[in-house]
Amino acid sequence: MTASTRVSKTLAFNIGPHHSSTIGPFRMRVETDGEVVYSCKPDVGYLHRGVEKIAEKMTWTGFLPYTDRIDYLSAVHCNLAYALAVESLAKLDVPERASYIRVLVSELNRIASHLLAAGVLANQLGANTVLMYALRDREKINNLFEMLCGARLTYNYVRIGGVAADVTDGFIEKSYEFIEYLLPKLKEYHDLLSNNRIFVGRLANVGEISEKEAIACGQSGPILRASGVKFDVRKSRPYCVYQKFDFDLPVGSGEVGMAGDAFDRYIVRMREIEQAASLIRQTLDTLPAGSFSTTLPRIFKAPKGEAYSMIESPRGTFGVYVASTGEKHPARVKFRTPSFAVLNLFPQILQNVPLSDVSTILGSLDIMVSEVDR
Amino acid sequence: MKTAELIGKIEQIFSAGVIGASSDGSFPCIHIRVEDLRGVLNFCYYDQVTKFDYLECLTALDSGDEFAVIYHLYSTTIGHRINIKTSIPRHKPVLASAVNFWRAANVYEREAAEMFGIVFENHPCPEPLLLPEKWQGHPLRKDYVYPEEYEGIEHRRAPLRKEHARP
Repeated sequence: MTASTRVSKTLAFNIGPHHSSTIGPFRMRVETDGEVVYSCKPDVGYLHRGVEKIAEKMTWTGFLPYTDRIDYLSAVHCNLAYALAVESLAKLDVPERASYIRVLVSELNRIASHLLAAGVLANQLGANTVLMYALRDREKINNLFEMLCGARLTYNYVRIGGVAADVTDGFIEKSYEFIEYLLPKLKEYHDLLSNNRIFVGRLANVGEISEKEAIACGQSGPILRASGVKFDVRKSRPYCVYQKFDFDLPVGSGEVGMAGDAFDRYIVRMREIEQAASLIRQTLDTLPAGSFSTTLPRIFKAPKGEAYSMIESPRGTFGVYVASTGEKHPARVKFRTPSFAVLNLFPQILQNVPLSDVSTILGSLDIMVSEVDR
Repeated sequence: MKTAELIGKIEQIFSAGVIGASSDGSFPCIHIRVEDLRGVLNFCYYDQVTKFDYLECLTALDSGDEFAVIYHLYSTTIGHRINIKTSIPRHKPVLASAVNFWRAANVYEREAAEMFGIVFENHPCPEPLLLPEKWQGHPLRKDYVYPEEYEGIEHRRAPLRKEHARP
């Protein structure tokens, strides 16, 4: 058979729902022509729990533990976004100390989430050691949270009106120790990954997202910043006390390949860890005295109206819209989750890429399936 | 541009289409008649003063006798934001898709379509997203009746004990 008469036959198969490059069940129907993926169709919903419907049946305060489960790798951010929305609706004042503690725990959680993102990405490419290192360091953050609120994954720590418990002197000391421990360890990650020719070769020029496309598709967080847009809710619309702190926004510049490629997304996350560490140190240094929470009435009712608040979660802009009719229950709660917007990038981002790059791209997007499905 | 100025500008151009607006409080928002929504979105996307190039979120909600759809818009070049709200009647929940302005609207509209039964005209991929293909009804509607079984799996709850029942 000569090349001109050969009929190209495509092969369609499933990647997922259980696949190691996603955290959670996420199915993709891919069609390949030889080694090249030429179409892909994501299928989500395996983890749909209907939290927005559950919210309408729960009390305002009783719904908080459910928000943890929206993104269990950054539970603090989900709590915080919901709490901020309800506080803005009910015009509640939060004590200054509580705001500082909120910044402190969100940045700790950001480090934990970014470490795991880098570890999982490296694991995809066969560098299993890095995942073990990442889990080892994340364990220290889990221990800190356990000390703070007793939970290691779904904290339910940020409450409406403040936080659940005050930080102790022991916690502050351990947090300083952790920062001292983490910064030298970051060099280890850079030696293993960022300066590793094989790793860089797998990530450079792979799955690039242009600035225009990232904006049109509604991307946020590290994906948007890796494409060169300097957008961060902590800077553009500061919440808690972020306006008082000094930190940089790492932006992707295509240092090893095109701007907005998988390497940029990886390196932006790694640099954000450094910034988060600096933010933690600043909060610990300036932590004011005072109360850690306001007292809510026994039966809390938000006044009639609506509010939208957003925060910067490790994966991007996490927005919460709440509407109230003045009852004990919310009338509507809507979560704008960063990973859900990532679905807009499909199928373009996986078109005409080698099959071996699929897990690289998925890993670099850091999709959290529980957040997509809610 | 400040939200109050933006709302003032839209009110000036689309005076007949504006039902209500609030520029302060927890949720600055402008309420547009559904007939004028297309024009307002067009203005928001293309005009040099507004330049809303980023659709952050699209929220649908059921307010009893009608549905409301909110567009949360942001401009990455200017840095201002606005919320645009419109109401559509419950008996005819049809709205033009905004995917031709913002590709980000794609998944949000698919979600709103399956959760509320809103039909987005000219949507490139009008398929269910999160729910199973055979799911009956639109769960986030206020009059949604909970199914008693799905594919032969019963999920009725045992009656609550008296001391656990909600007042």
